[in-house]
Amino acid sequence: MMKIEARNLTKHYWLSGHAIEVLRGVSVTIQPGELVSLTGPSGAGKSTLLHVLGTLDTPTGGSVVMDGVDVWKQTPGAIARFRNERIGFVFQFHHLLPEFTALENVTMPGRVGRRPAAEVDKRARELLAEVGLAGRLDHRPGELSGGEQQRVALARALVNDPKVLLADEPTGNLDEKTGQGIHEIIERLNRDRGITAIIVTHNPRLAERMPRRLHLDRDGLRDSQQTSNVVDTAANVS
Amino acid sequence: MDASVHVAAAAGVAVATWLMTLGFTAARACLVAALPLGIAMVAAFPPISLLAAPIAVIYAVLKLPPAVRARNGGFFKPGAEGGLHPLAVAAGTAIVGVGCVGAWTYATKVDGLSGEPVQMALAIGLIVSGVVGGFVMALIARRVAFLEALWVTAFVSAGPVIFSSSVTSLFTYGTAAAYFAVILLSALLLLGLSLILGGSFGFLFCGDGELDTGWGYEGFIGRRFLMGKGGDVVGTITVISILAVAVGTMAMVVVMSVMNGFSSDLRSKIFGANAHLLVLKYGSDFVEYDDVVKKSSTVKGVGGASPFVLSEVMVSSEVNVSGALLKGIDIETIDSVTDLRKNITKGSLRHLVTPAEIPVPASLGTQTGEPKKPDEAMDDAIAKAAGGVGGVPDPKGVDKAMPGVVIGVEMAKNLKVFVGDVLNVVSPLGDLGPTGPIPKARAFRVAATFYSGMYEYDSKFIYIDLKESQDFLTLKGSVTGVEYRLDDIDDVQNVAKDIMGVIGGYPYRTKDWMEMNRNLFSALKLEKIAMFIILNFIVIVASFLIAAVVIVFVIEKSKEISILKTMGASDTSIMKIFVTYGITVGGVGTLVGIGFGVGICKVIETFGIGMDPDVYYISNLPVKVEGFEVFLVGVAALGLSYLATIYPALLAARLKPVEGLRYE
Repeated sequence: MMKIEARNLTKHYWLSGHAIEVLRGVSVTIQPGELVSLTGPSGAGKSTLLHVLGTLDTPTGGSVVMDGVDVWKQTPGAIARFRNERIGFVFQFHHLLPEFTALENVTMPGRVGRRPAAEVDKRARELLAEVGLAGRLDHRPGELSGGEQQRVALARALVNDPKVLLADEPTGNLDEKTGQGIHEIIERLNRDRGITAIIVTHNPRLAERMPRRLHLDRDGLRDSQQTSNVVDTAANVS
Repeated sequence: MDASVHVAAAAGVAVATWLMTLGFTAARACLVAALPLGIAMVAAFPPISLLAAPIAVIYAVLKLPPAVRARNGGFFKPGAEGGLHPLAVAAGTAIVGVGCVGAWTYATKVDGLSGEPVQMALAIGLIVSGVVGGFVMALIARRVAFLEALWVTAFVSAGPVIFSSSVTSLFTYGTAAAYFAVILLSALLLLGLSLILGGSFGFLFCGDGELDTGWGYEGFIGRRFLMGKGGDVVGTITVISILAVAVGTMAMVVVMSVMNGFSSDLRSKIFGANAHLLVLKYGSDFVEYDDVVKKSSTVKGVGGASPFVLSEVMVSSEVNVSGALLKGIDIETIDSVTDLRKNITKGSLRHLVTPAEIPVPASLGTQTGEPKKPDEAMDDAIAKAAGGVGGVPDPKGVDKAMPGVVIGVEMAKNLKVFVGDVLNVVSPLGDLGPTGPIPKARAFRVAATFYSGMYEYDSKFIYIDLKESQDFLTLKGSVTGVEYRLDDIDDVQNVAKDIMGVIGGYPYRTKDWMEMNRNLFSALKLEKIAMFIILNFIVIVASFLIAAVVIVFVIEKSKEISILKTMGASDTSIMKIFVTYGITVGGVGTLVGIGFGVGICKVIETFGIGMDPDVYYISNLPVKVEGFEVFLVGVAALGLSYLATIYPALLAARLKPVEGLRYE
């Protein structure tokens, strides 16, 4: 189980010499086993926040502390290993590797973690069966439908049994019914295995189903559990 | 050899290296203004570049625009954002310095080498310490320390200037300043490449701040990327790259082998006609040669010894005159020293001591070629010379017979003589007469003709019996020297030392084949090195192609790179994936190229390519495949392919995961 703390995160982009502020002093704490939705208008920095929390992007200021460890103070190798072992990502455009079959795609995080091939293979087959793709192991992403690809991506995110699942609009590209299915799988994972999950979504109805809801816009981060948070973050902007 | 010219050449190389380092540093620091400043300072007073470089860099870093400084973390910052890491430069310079001094000390003190062989030791020292230094620099800076490598090279380039006297002593037989500068530049290039090579290893295995020697999934993914999207067929672009490397490697193997063929053909001709080592004596009283031969024959490595007399003479036939080098040889021992007997085309070497048996020329005999039937047209000299043969064989008549001489085929053609014909040999150093020395002339009959394959020898050398030459040249039983054949010609310097020890040193001295044919062999060596470098350009072009292909690949695969990074693939793992691609293309290309190259050489060897012997003095294109050289070609091709991949692979490694994930 893992506790994620973001402390006063800021993120600037440099565009032709001008700083563009994306995150302005975001602080949030996610407890182990929480199921959290993250909503907000386009361009508010939802994806950026998710990337920074998931160690994919360096914050300009502030820190990300996971289980008491300041992530960005680690060596690049330690960060990469941490990402490999603890975090699973699912993206809107599933991002499978087109050269590899569904099974190879799912085993990839295990290979990256240099785990024994047989063990990873077994786990990957289980997970693909779990998402209902036991019969499509040797198909390449191009031969799968959008929903199937997203389920492969989900299986891939879970193959190393991560503590945290970070999903960036996992259903944004799918029809309502297929998306519902994906969400149900994530909810089940959270319930059965206690995986911490943060899901970025544009769909208010799906967001409503989550126990904790975060809303990010130009004024800062609004938390369904802690309304005063807005004031905190606003004070930090200055 | 004027040492100051070499110092100037070394200083020129050092300044050029510093300029380049400055330029790159300035470019890296985004302050091109530092470059003209540096050039102006160097132009004013070259040694100032040693001072100017650090000042310019400090100035450049201090003046960085803020946006650049945000990207460039400045000194001491490890990883991709760092600028120039002074600690890495210091460590690299120290390691390379220790490596060079160590190699030098070991070679000269422990191995007792001097001159040319030390060059090899130094080159190995440079390569090894370069790789180690680069590795350590990569550990310190946590990146492939390109800029640091350049700085280390620039610091080391000052070495030949400071230790100029030691460095020039490496070239026993001297060398031109331009050649010297080229060698220094090559050495520095070698050092720079070794540093980058070591740095790339350091980054590949320790770049993430921890040791990771795994290459499992990286190889798996890299090999899959080699294939097209189809998965079964190798990508077209990959095939083209492999072909490019293969063609370059093949050309190198074939051309080097043909050059080897020519060179070894020349060597065998020269060594066939010449001894490997001479022992000479100061003064003109070398009469104790039998003693010298006996003593020195016991020396290890000596294959044979034979005394000889050498003198410049003039040779005239009835129709022509020619200058010649007369060599008096000992028929008993000459076979252990030169291939003269094997080179005889007509007649027999034996007839030098038994001139009475020299046949009468066929042209003077009857049309059926009966030599014993004297023709009426035969002139008096031949009649007299053949007296012992034409009449009843008489052992005592041998003394009266005209002595024999062996001449080259070209000289025979020039003088229009055949075996059995008479030649007049004139020595300029005759007896003293009232008006000075009176040239001494004696008639010889052509006992045999030889063909050595070297035009110079075939048209200039004439051989007579040793005793005959001592008599003719009134040497009073002395010889010019003793010639030796050695078991291993490359060991000549040691054997010469041993022989000198056995025969007692002064007044004797030795002269080896390298000294005798210095210009020829150094020209051959230079030609070969130059050819190797020039032909390497083909492979360099091929490696540019690999670099371009890998860059295109990195761009095309930027999304996949990001995905792999989200899974926790580290920067070095991403680099390994693309290095796998480069190594595979380079490796397969090299193997195919070497295979075809050696194959072509074998075909030429077996079937032969005819050449005009009148022009080339050789009837077939000579080919000689040298295993070690083929190995070197392979290493060079593979190394260049690998080096070409480093930069694009680094681009891939440095790609931020979020960059490839931006939604399309």
